[in-house]
Amino acid sequence: MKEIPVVKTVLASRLYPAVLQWPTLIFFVLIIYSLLHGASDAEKNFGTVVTWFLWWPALGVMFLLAGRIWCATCPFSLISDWVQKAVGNHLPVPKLLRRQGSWLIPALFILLTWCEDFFDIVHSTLATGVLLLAIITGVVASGAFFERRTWCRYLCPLGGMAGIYSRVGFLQLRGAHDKCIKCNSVECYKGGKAGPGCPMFEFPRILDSSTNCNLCGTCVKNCPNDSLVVALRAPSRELWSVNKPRIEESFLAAVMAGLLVVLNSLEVAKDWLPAFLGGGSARLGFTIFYFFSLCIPVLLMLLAAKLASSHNGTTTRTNFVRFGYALIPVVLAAHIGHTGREFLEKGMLIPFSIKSFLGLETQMPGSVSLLGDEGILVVHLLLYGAGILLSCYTAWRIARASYKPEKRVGSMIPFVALIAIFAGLNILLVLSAE
Amino acid sequence: MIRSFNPHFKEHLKALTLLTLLITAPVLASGEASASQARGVSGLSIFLWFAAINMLIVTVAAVMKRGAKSITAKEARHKRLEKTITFTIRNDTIEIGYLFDRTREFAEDHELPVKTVFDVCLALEEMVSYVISNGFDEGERASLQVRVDLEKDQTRFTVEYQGRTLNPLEAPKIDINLPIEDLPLEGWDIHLLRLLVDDIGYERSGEKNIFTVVKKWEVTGEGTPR
Repeated sequence: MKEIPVVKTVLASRLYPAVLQWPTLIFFVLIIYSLLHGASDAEKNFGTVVTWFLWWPALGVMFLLAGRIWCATCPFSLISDWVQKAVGNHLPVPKLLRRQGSWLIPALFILLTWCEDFFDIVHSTLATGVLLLAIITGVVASGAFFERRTWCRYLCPLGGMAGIYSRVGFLQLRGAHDKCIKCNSVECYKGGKAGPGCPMFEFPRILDSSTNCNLCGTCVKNCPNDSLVVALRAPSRELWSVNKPRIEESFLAAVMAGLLVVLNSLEVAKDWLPAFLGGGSARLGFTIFYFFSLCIPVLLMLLAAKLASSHNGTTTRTNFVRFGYALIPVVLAAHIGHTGREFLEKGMLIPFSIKSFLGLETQMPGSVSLLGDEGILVVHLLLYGAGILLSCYTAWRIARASYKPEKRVGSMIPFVALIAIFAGLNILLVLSAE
Repeated sequence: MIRSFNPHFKEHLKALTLLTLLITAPVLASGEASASQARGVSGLSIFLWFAAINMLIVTVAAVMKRGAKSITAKEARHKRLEKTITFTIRNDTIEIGYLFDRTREFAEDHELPVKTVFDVCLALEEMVSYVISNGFDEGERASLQVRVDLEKDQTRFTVEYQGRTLNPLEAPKIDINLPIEDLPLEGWDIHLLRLLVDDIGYERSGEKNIFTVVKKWEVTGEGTPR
């Protein structure tokens, strides 16, 4: 790992993250305005175009490059802080959230994604506006009643996805053991002269994962011992050095895999799938198809875990929990590929929608894609190639860290097969869509 | 009256006004001039609906905050009679922040000096972190009963849980004089706990581990719990 002092200097700056949050907030206000009052055609509306064809595709790339850096600049966190400052009751996080929050977030994410397709939110300006306003309401309620950033930590539907993807990322923030051991102020958590403590309820001194670190820099600013280290690491490194693997994260990785299969299937079969799923009652058919598709990877991963357990002697649950993390890199690659496709196919809509929003242009460009079909296919194949390699390597490292030499290969093979099935199916769907 | 209720009222009012303006101004300004009036009305009504919900939430929170202020003193007096607090948490490091915050409030309610409050919280954080990191098998879910007792001149923490035997008294010591590259990655929580507290006790009772820690308060002439 290589320290990068320049990033630490940025995080320690009093201007950070406000310097990013303010422009994001202004942009966000414009997006809301455009969604509620702009063009009704989603492809001409600044709000929908920027949300779904720029921000959404950029999110996956941001997770890969710098973990949850988006969370530091998210305008919702700024709104939450304001409301908390004004009327915050700072109540303890309810027991239900503390205990079940790690399950609730994936559940909310599944629900949100289902809504997205069920109500076709991507292609509806008003629906996108309502979605954003509904999220603001949740943020305001959380900031008004509960302590720190309860919304971001326990409720944000993107939090679970952000958490598992940021484990693949190149950037990490940790406390230096040799300095933390001498510290008896814990200002990183409780806050200090520079401001309140970690908004995400984390103790940087015992932080061993990037799941809940949003790189907001509050700990860096508060630490009196200059203990925090921001370092570059090999992508996915954190996945094979997890101290306490969580079943929720492995489960979410499997669910995300299912979700990407659903989304890629919809791309291929958008013309005939609704009729196939039930004609008039297509929505019910879609719902059944959606939830059934999410279950398949979970069941396949259980099968892989069962096969691995018969080889290495540990329980099915242990194998499911440990090796679930190996799926994350290829799922992230599929995610970037899927959302990036929207950007590459419709990227020219972004400058057009900005001009149109400002009243400078009303004529839609003839071609809106940034890259031809062959180019998009190559990008997909490169992403899947990198994802497969990284996932297989992660599976190997997990096996190496957990089992004796003679049991390693046998333990990882079922999961490598699962990675291959998932990637192969998605590549097939991408090829069919071209 | 408002100022005595909230000394930062002006600052807060400014923040709220700014927030409201930021979201409402563009929508209200557009008004009838929207490209499509029918859609514009629909967008505006949606916005107003959400604005009303948000204002309701903020108002309820403000009223609650005001109410909380008036009962806090009574509650604190009542709490001061209680010298013990107990928690049931699960074996997940996520819970440590919650435990830290609640213990901090408890210690502050008893008007312990600031340094003592954080010594107490830090000791508890290290103790629970040690148990969670070392007391369970991978993926095992369990509950921990944590008890904090404020005694005459010390705090006693007790953590009880069902799990494999984990005797903190037998944990290897770390030689901090070793070069940094030779220092172990594990075992720092118990090392720090030893430095922080005055006594560590352990008992195995059936399937249960009972781990006790005592932290004496520094005598400063102030801060005896009332």
